[in-house]
Amino acid sequence: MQDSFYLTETPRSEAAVFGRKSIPAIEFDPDVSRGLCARGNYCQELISHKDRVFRAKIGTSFFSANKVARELSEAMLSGSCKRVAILLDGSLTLEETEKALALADKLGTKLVAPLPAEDMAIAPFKNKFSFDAISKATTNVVVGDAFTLCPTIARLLHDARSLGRRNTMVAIDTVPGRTGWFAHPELIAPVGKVPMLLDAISSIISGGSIDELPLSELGVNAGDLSWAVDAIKSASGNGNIIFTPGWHFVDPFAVAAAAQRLAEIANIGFAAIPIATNSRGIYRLLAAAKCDIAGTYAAIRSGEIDALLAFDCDPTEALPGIEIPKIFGLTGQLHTTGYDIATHFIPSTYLFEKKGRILGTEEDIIKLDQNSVGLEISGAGAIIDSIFGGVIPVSPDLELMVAEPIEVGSGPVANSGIPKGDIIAFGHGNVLHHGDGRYTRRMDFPFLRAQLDLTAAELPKSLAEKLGLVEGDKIKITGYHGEAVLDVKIAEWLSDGTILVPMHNPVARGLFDWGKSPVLGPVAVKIKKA
Amino acid sequence: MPPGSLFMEATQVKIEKRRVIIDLDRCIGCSSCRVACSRTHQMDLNLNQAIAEPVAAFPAHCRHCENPACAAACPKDAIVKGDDGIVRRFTFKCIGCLSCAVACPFGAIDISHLRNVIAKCDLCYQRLDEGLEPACVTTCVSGALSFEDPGDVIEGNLSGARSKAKPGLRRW
Repeated sequence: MQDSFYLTETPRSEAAVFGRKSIPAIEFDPDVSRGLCARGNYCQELISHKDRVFRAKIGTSFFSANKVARELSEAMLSGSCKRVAILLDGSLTLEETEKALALADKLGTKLVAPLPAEDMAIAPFKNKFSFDAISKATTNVVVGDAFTLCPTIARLLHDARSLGRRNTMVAIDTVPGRTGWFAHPELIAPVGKVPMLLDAISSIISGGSIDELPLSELGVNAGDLSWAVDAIKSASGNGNIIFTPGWHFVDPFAVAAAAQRLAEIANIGFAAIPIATNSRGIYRLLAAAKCDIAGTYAAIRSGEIDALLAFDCDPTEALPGIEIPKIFGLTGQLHTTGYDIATHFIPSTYLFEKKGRILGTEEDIIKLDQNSVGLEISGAGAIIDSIFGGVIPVSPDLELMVAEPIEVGSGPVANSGIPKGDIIAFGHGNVLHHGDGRYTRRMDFPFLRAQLDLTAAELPKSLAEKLGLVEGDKIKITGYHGEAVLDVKIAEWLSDGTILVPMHNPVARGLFDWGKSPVLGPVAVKIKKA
Repeated sequence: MPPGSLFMEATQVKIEKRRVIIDLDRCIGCSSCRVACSRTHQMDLNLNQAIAEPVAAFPAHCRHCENPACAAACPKDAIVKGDDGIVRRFTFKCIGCLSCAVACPFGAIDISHLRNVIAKCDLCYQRLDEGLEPACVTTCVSGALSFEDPGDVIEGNLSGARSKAKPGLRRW
């Protein structure tokens, strides 16, 4: 959610109602002293990072980018390469996506998918909101932990809370999160029940009675629920429901659909916010081209492909544990894990160094007109042209092609349910995303790096007592997808039957189904003392 | 010689009344401010993190006190309050004894060493000279940090902070 923000020097007290303009801008000039990304990262840091790569290579030998592209093309078009999968980073432009689709056609594959996979959960939905409206809303309803997944929006939500010094935020989640901390009320529904809770709120707003609802099943009390309903009702015409997908929901597609229904019934705005800037635009182009998105993840996971092309995203970090095929072409900007493994690597540019169009979060088309400063490297679009063997024309109707989402029903990928009686493990995010942090926040700050050492699973006190565990003990957590041995940390606020594990810890991430899911949902696990 | 004239002429001194103010009702603990601090100070991290277990983590900025206890406690005069009001640490003089960290009533000085000297916020005075705000303030994604005269803040700029927070504190 980093599209189109503007720089302002307005003091916060006056900026409180300025919405998106109160957010620090992405700046592109490496000579300016204030090149701050809206997400809190440093684009300047990324532009001039010591690990930025500028040379193309095949294996461990350096060649020109054109030669590597030619070799890659020849390798993929050879008879031995029958099944090719393509991954596109959510920061590619619409033009680059269309070029990638043309390349996929030439290679005879429909296995094309975007990364990060989490964004898939909201891609089929159409937003109807504005950032300014969030900051001025009477009530904002946040479903999921928006402050963790999308920190930029925190400022807008805080602005709304500050107006008139009222609290104006309702949070709905399955575990207490960073966002819920600031919300009144915070509704914590049992795992898998969030769509039901949202529909219950819709039914009350439509004239139903709280007394008729199975409140114990929904995990909320009548007081909090009626408070939330009143807050949403009072916001008719001036409220929003904001959904950020994440690892807290069994079926985020169902959650997003229920949130959209509530928005329509309550006459408030609806915003489904992705992690990567252009994920929704890319998804719509892929869906229109009838790409097998879910099949792509599955094929990569199972190692059933002969070649993998990843444009500006590193699947070895975003989808850890995948099997690397004999041909692995990668474009990127930094020396990530994939750089060492790739058979063919070509350096490319960041989104903020590109020209082109992206689909903004407000459903608007944003034109990028940034030129990479002094770089001798090309963006992914030109690289795709080189691999294709000629300049691929771009449709003039791109904007129309992404104007409407493609309906996918309950979602392209089935989610596994949580068996009754098991303990439910949630992923616990931290400031380092995707593996060791190199994928999205590659910084060598010791205090951030230290978080990689997070090795503790958080358990509710009741569960720890039941298992005879104290802080510092080690437990073995076993799930369908893998197992991990972690330290015990007691978290009194956690609900019975749930544990939190550090999702991005290399040891713990094996518990989650990275390959199958576009959605890193909670998983059922068993625990015993190690 | 008054301590302040070590680094600037008396005629050039502009008293800096503004301080970094944190609105706890907005801080989401994302650490962007600490990243900005580290980046601005050539990877030195001068901004300590306060942790209120198990509630929250937020930056603990130096208040640049009127009568800084850290400076009084320093046996080598390595911490000096300048005529401009900014309390600075002089790397060449600091022996890393941590007396200042113990003396600071706000926990703004980390007890861990930074290249054998203490780490201390200098209010990004070079950025101030350029008319910019401290890096932590400009990078704050939630609008929790502001750079204001504390006197103005008392006039009512903050949103009520924790007095309106709910009971049952929980957050990671």
